[in-house]
Amino acid sequence: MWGILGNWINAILTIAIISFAVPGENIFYRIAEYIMIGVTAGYAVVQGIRVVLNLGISPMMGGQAYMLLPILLGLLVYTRFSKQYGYLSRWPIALMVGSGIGVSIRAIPEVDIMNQIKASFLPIVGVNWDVAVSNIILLIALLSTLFYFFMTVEQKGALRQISVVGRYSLMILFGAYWGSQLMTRSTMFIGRMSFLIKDFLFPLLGLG
Amino acid sequence: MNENKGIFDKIENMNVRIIYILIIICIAIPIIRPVGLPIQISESTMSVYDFIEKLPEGSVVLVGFETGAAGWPELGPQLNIFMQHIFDKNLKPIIVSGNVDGAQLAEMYTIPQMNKPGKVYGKDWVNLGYIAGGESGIAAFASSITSITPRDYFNTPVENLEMMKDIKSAADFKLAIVCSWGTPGHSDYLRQYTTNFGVPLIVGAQTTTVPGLVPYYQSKQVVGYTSGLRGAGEYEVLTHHPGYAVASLDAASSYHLVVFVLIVIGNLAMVAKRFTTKKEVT
Amino acid sequence: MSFLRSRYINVAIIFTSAFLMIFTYFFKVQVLSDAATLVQKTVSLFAAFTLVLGAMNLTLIAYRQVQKKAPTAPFSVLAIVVMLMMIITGLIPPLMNSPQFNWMYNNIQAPTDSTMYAMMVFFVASACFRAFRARSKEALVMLVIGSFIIFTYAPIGAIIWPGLPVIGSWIEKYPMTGASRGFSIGVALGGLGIGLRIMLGREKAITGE
Repeated sequence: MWGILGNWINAILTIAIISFAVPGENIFYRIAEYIMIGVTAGYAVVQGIRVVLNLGISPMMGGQAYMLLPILLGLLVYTRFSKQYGYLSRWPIALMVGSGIGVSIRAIPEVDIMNQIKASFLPIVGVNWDVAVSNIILLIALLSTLFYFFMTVEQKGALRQISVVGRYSLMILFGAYWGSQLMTRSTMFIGRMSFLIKDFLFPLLGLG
Repeated sequence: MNENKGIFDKIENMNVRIIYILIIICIAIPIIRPVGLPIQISESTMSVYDFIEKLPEGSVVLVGFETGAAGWPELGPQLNIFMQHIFDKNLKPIIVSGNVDGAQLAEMYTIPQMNKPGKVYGKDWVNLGYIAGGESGIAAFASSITSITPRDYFNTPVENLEMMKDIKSAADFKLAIVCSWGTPGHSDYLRQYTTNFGVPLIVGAQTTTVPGLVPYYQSKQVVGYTSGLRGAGEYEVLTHHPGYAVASLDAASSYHLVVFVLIVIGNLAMVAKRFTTKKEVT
Repeated sequence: MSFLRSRYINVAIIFTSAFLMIFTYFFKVQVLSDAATLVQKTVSLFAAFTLVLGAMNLTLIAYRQVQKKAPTAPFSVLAIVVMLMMIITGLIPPLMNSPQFNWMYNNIQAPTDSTMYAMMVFFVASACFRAFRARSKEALVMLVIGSFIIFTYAPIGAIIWPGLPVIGSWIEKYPMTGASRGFSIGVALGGLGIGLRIMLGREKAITGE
């Protein structure tokens, strides 16, 4: 029974949200929207409680008494609601920001710059002519795109032409992003329509 | 002439609800009646398949369910088919997620669908649940698994799981697979697992992120990638497990065709309007 | 006490933690590596505490709306009720794994979450129809390339013309890769710059006034 009820609630909420598209904003959409906000917030709370229990409280009870300090510092996050003590909430945020910056920028030079530059040195001799031409095109696209963002030199004359090539290279990139967006967006909706048709309507109508 | 211009104006300013209804119809029809368009396998998907095929039995594979329910229609089919291939090859997956509900999606939507005869939780696969803290959390997990996930998704202490007895850090992984909806994403995994510990990385990508991912594949920092629903469909064909992705690609084709036709109509209307206006002026 | 309010404490925390992470990446000193892992674990804990902030904000907003008798007050109350249901079912043992919690996730959270994002399919299609016009050479390039990419991903492309996915794949592999790489390198350099600025306390938005 709970399974059937769940299926119906699933379908009703899905149709309520989709109803925003065709008739426009309406009360059913609003109700579904606020339900979504509520469950998402509730889920996050439970997950937060679980992590605090597993990472903080259980180890502390199990002998790692020093975990009391991070727990107390973590509670400072809630001081942001106080005008008088709100500055204390910046401390745990600062640690999160600092740690996040540290772990990311330490590897960026290798991952995003050095290895990428190394991989751009592609062969143009000793390969088929079409591969050689393609490799040159890749290099032109790369260098012109980098140059397009070069603001320290005035882009005029021949330099401006490189910048124009860079702009067109970026248009190729944005065209690719646009094309791939369509697939992502359609896939989301196909998932919901698949549920509505195959998992809700077909069983309701007794179809295969 | 004014009438023609009026028609083109009407086309350009067509009520969007008509477009919305058209979209619903063009997606619904292929779902009700699939056509079965053939799917060609791309080089990047083949790279993924070949790599997993060559892994020795018993290899530990980290699988990052870095998605929520919102991204599941696109990433779920990829994760499902990757997990099925992993089970078919008798590899040992460790499921984690930097998203609050990724691990739950794995338990509710992926694991029940898997064909895994004789496989036992804790011995053949584990779900270590949610890793909080974004890239910092991932960095901690990579250095010392139990520092950040002392208990698994079911609240069992990790040291009690048979599979985890000899697995202490990312150095023990033979492969990492990430399917990400945002962050943590393939960049975080590249920085923390691949660069730091030399773990090969496979990406099950949202199609939107593919343009940004291809340079990493070309530079061989990423072993291979699959692109969204299309990639999942290709992988289902490769592994002889045709399923949801293969069945849904017809609807995707239909949508793409309709949008392309709409764009062409819009541009033709614009050109025709300009042409008509020029003629009036002359 | 005013010293505690000083932004230099924030800057010191950011710099020390970031420097610790960077140092332990390049130099393996066991004591510092252990300290870095402890900091990362602490950050995870802090992130868990921040997960509750959304719920607290939602509650505050709902309270204010009910006080003011705003028209959206009933909806806010509904959100709070549903939120509490989710929390209560989540706390039923086993934690976050009870049948009631799974039921709520499967039939309420997952469908609403995914359908909300799925709505973009309509707006993308209508935006493409209304706004995507080849008014300039750049827009034409973007349109043509995008069309090739569309038919590379959609299986129907190969049916319309087998050359479509071939050309699309070539575009992805060469010119698009070059442009994307240039873009990524630029973003990486910018990211490094911003990271260093924050570490050195030059970004007042992060460290406070």
